[in-house]
Order: sequence, then C-alpha cells, then structure tokens
Amino acid sequence: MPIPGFFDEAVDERGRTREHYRPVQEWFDRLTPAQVSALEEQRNESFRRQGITFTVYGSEEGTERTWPLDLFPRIIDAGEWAMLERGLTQRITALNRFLDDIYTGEQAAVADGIVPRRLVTSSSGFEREAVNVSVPLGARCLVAGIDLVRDSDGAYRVLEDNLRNPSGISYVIENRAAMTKLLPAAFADLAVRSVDHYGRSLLRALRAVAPPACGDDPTVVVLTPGIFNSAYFEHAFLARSMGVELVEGRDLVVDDHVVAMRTTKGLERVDVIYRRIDDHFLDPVVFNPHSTLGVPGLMAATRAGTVTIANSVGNGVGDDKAVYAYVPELIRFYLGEAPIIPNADTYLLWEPDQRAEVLERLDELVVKPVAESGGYGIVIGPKATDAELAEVRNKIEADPRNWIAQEVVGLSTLPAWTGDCFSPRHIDLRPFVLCGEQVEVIPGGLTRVALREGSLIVNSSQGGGSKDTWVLGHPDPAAAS
Amino acid sequence: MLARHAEDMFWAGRYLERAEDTARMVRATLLSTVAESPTQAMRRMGNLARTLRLEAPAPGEDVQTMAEHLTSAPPMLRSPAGLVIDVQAAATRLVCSPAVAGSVVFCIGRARENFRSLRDQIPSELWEEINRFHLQLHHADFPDAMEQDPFRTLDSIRVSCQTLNGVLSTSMARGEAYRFLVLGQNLERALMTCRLLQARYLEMDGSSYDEMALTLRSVSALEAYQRAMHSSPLASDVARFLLLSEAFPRSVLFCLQLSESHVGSLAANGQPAPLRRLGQLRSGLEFADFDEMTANLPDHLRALEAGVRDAAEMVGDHFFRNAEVFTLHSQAIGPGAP
Repeated sequence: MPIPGFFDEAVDERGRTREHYRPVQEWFDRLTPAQVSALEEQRNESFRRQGITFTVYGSEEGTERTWPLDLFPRIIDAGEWAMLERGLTQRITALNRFLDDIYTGEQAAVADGIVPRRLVTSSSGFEREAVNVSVPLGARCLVAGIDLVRDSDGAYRVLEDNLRNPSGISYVIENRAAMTKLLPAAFADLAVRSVDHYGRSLLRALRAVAPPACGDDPTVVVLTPGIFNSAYFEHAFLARSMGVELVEGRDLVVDDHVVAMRTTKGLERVDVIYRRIDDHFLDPVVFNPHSTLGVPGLMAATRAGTVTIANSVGNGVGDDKAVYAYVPELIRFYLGEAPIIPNADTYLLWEPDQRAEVLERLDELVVKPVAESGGYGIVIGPKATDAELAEVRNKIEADPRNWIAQEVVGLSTLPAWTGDCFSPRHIDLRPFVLCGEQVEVIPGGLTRVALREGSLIVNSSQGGGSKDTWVLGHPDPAAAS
Repeated sequence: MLARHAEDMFWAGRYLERAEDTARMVRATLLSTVAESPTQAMRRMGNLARTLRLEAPAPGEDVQTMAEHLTSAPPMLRSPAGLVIDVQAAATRLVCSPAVAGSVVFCIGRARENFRSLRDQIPSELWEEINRFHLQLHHADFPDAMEQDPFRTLDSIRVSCQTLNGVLSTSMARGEAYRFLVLGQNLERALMTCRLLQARYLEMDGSSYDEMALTLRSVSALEAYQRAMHSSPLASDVARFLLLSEAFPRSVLFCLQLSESHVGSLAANGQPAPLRRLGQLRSGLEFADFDEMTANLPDHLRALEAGVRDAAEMVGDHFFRNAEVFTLHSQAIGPGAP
C-alpha cells in the first residue's frame, strides 16, 4: 500500500495499479518470495563477476560494494517522457546560454539584473581561468545530469543541476543489461526504449566540439584520476563504449600549447578531452599546484584553442545551488519561454528576510550547502537532532552565501524488495542530457531509491540503491497492446 | 596505444603465465613426492621454491646433503617458529599465500589489478573471467581445498588459466594490446623453462626415468617429448627438447621466435634494441652446437636466462619509457596555437 501523503508511482490514490505499471505488477505478483530471492542472488553473482562495484569512502568494511539494483523497475509512459524531454532540453539550453554568456559573452543576465552579480563572482564554481575561453557550439555543459523528484501531487520538480561531472550513466546501461538477462519475460511487449547507444551518442557530441582546426577525425580521450577513484568503473566503461583511450594525467604532455599522449609509438596529438577530474586538479600551473592528477599547461592549451575540455572548466557557477534558484528566470530571459519543469521551493539565505524566516523554521526545512554534490552536508530539518540544527544554524549565520533552504519535497514512492516483500520506498530520477550539435536526452536515466524505510536520502554513497528506468515507446500504452 | 597501458598489458601477460607455471610445477613436484620419504620430498619442495625464484639463491649454495638443505630451506618453507613445514603445507603456501610473491593467488591478484586499469582495452569477457578466477582463489575454503585435495585444486587452476587464454585468443583483436600481452607471456615462459632446467639438470644426471618425467611434467612436456623422441630419455635429450624444439610451445626457442615476431610487428620501423637482442638469442639457439653446449650447460643456461631478462628490459625501455622517441615526436607535433 502507498504511504499516505506521498505520490506513489505505481498505485493511484484509490489503491489501483496505474495503467502503465499493470503488466509489470502482474508479472511480479506471480513471483514467490523464494523466486525473488533467487533472482537477487543471481543478480549479485553476476555483478560480482563483472566487478560492477562502487567505492564508499570512509567506510570500514571493504570499500568496494556490488552495485545495488532493485528488481522492480520504474516506468515512465511516453506522454510523460515527452514532457520531461522538452523540459530538460529547455533547461540545459538556457544553462548553456547562461554559462557561455558569463564566460565569453557580455554577461547579459547579470547586466539586466536577472542574477545578482555578487552571486556569480562569489560562487566557488566561478573560474576566472575560464573567462574568454570559448567552446565550440557554446556546449560548455556537454553532459548534464539533472536531478528530478515528484512532489506529493505527482508533479516533477528539479532538485539539482549537475553540470560538472555527473556520474551514473554506466549504471543506467548496466542496470538495463542485468534486467534484460534476469527478467526477460517482464519486458513482454512494452516497447521499452533502449539506452545502449549512449557511448555512440557521447562520442558524436564530443567530436562535434573538437577545435575546428583539427580536421574531420579528431582524437578523443577520457581523462580519469585513476583506478582508486570511486567512479573509475564508469570512466573505463565510457572509454570502452566509445572505443577511445582512457588516459591519466601522467599519460598526457603539453608541448607548445598542444596536448599529446604518450603512446608506444611516441607522442600522439589529442583534440578533445572528456575529463572526469574536478576543475581544481586539472592543471597544477593554474590550479592546485600539488595536484598530481592533472596536466601542466592544459589550461593554456585550452585557451589557445588547440584542445577542447568537456565539460568546460567553470561550470560550477551554473549548478551552484544559489544560482539554481534563478534558473526559471534564466529560462524566461534567454529563451522567452515559460519553464516546463519547476524548481523546488527555495529560500536564499543571504537575503536577510528569507534567512530570518528559515532560521525560525529550521526544523521543517532541508538545508544544503551550495557547492557540494553527492548529498554531502545536507541537513534535513524534521530528521535532524537539536545539536545538528544548532550546528547548521551557526554555519548559516557565519556564511549565509554558502547555504540555501528548501521545503521538504515528499519524494514519490515505488515498491522495492525489502528482504521478504515489496514495500514502498522513496525515489528520485537523474536523466542524462547530451549537448553537442543538438540536445539529446537519454530515455529514462538513473532512478535512485532510498532502501531504508522512510529515508529520503537516495545517494549510493549513503546507502541508496537504484532501479532500472523504463521509458515506454508508444505514446498510448493502451493502443500498443 | 598508451605506453602505460602497453606496460600494464605486458605485465598482465607475465603474471598470467607465472600463475600457470607455478601451478604446473607444484603439481608435478607433488606428484613425484607421493611415494617419497618426507625429507626427500621436502628437498624437492626446496628445489622448487628456488626454481620459482621465491628466494634469491645464496652464492655457492649447495643442497647436496640433507643437513645443509634443512638449514638452507627458503624462508617461505619455514613456519613462523622457524621449523621446516611439511610438504603439503609448503605446496599450499606456494599456491595460496598472497604474501608469497609468485604464488598463484599473488600472480592472479596482480594480473587482475593490471586488467583493472585496462578495462577500456580488454574485452568484457576477459575481465569477467579473470574476476571469476580471482574470486575462486579468494573463496574462504580455497586453502583447505588445496590442502585436502591438491591435485583436483591444481587442475582447476590450470583449467581457469586455459579458459583465460581461450578467451584471449578468441575474443581479442590482434592489435598492440594483444601483442604486448602475448609478448609478456612468452618472455616469462622462456625464463621459467631456463630456470627449470637450471634447477633440474643436475638432478637428472642419474638418468632415472622419474627425474626426467618430473622435469618434463613441470612444463606439461612429457607427452610431447615421448611423441618426438622414442629413445629412452637422457638428461641431455630432455634439455635439448626444452631448449630447442621448434614445435613445442614451451621450449625456449619457440618462445623466443614468437616474442621476436611480436616485437617485429610492434616496432614502428627499423630494428629497435629489443628486436636485435631477441634475434641474437634466437639465432644463438638455432645455430648452437648442442654437444658443445651440454659440456657446460649450467653456464649456458645462466647466460640464456640473463639474455632473456635483458631483452625484457629493452622492451620496457623502448616501448614504455622511451625518452628519445618522445622528444623526437614532440618536435614533430608542433606548432601549437593555430
């Protein structure tokens, strides 16, 4: 049964299974608990053998865990997906316009007072090194992961934009591969849209942003911090599915503003770097001088236009949670359109009136640091202890620019296997958006699920799981059957 | 391909080969000790540990007498109290101990680590297989199984190694990555055959069939040898076969020919140092006067082993850390800003 006060994806308010979940629900209803457990065992065995794991920093017991995939899929019907696709395309288009305007344009959104100037210049994601560095097609954010939730009315809302190094796409594809092997019959004739082509699409987008001078066969590489990084599995996955080299900083050299990799046959020129290293580790010459992950001279080469780095340096200003609050306005400003997917209600703590209200209601709100990702530093008022609330109150008063507050969004629920039965658990959704010559939204995305009862924290680094996400191909599921 | 990836591939090949060789040699040695006295059997295990270079041989070391042997038993054959452990426990450590450099568990762990940093280079099927093998070796019951039923366990290790080689040969494109891996395997294999002959040659002097059989079984050569040579075996025949056979895939000549051909394909142009070195070693064997060689086989074997090591070093210098090539090309790739 659904949890009162929350929107359930699979069951309506009268307790009936929603139309687009019916075939899958019936399929799962026929399974005995022993059969589900057997499938789970098969899944774990397969992930273990494939080494599909992720690393949890700072946990004691062996830091590599197999990827937690819940068997009950999330299903989005074609009409709903068409709306999301339009909304995400709109949002990322506006954000890319904003980033390009900030770094290489006339900063129109600031000049016209849409976003306060001090908010931009004080953002820890704003990089002076990126000013006046242009990016082909203005595709500063080439891969975005936009976190969506559904509130208690079932309306989708954007919770967070990830414009720097969003991860998780490899799990989307591995989840699908695992589900196809484990439950082939459950797919029946639902016409679930494929996600397998991601590597090809990403490569096409990366080649589209190569420096114009490099000809029509640019060399693309993936830059990883190395095998000890928590997302290494994904970095290798992407390099493999694109068929390009997976390089570390030590494999690259910059000579006379040209980037090259050390190969068995000498140096070979590199044109596009899909980097999965944070800005501050990219180039010890201009950023962290102690970074051994980066490549000395990389930023100068980028500025000279001989190489394109994707995602661009400095995108953090676009997914700063303080700037997030202004994204609906940015959509109106740059595109002249009404936002299709609204934000969650957000309070800006550097505005004295809003800060005062928030500090009054701290125990009812969610408080987030503006520049973090991965769920770190978030305080959920209704679940926090008095000591935690007092601590975050002090931090807000000391540095209000660094915090925002949001109303608690009642994340929608979906059945998840809890050991002996399926029970509703809270979920969110991270669709992935590619921006090369055109914007492409990969059908579905990563559905994360908070496996602990009542929990709203879905991050895999904090005990969350995942679900395969099925976007149905037919506009009307009833007509398809 | 990236120089770093090439080096990882080369070492993955060496570790895979090493794991398989260790398993074969332990199996052959255990088989030969079944009917022997514990002290005799322990002496054999000590010899094996030295063949596998699990301990550097002391200068002038001699294991002729039992007393000397017991005091010179390699540290890995001693229990923490310093006592020499029994044959079965010694074999288990050679296979299962992650602390013994060269044990099967150690080598497969290293090979897996190398493949892990090559995930984008290798077929997923290969990764899954090495991962499955690694998990098999790390199963909690594995050391017990090795102690209780060593032959079955060693056979299962051999089958796992052969499965890996099968996946390699049926699913990997014959590109640079593949060549570096096979090159690593063959150089390691050549080294191991050299070491085996060095350790076993004097033992075979009495021309007892069992001693010959142990040597040949250690590199799975017994059947191939019997097919090729019909006379009753002599130590020098066994040595000739393992050094010079053109048909047996574990003979030193065979491994060198294969290595040379891969280095030839890998070299962009010209005759780089490792290619010349391998060519010299190969022709040295091809045109050797074997009777002259047998007169002083231990010295020849030592020189051959050193030559193969040398060639492996040169492969590293030329392909993985060639400063010359880098500066040369770096001039060629400029000018920078358009």
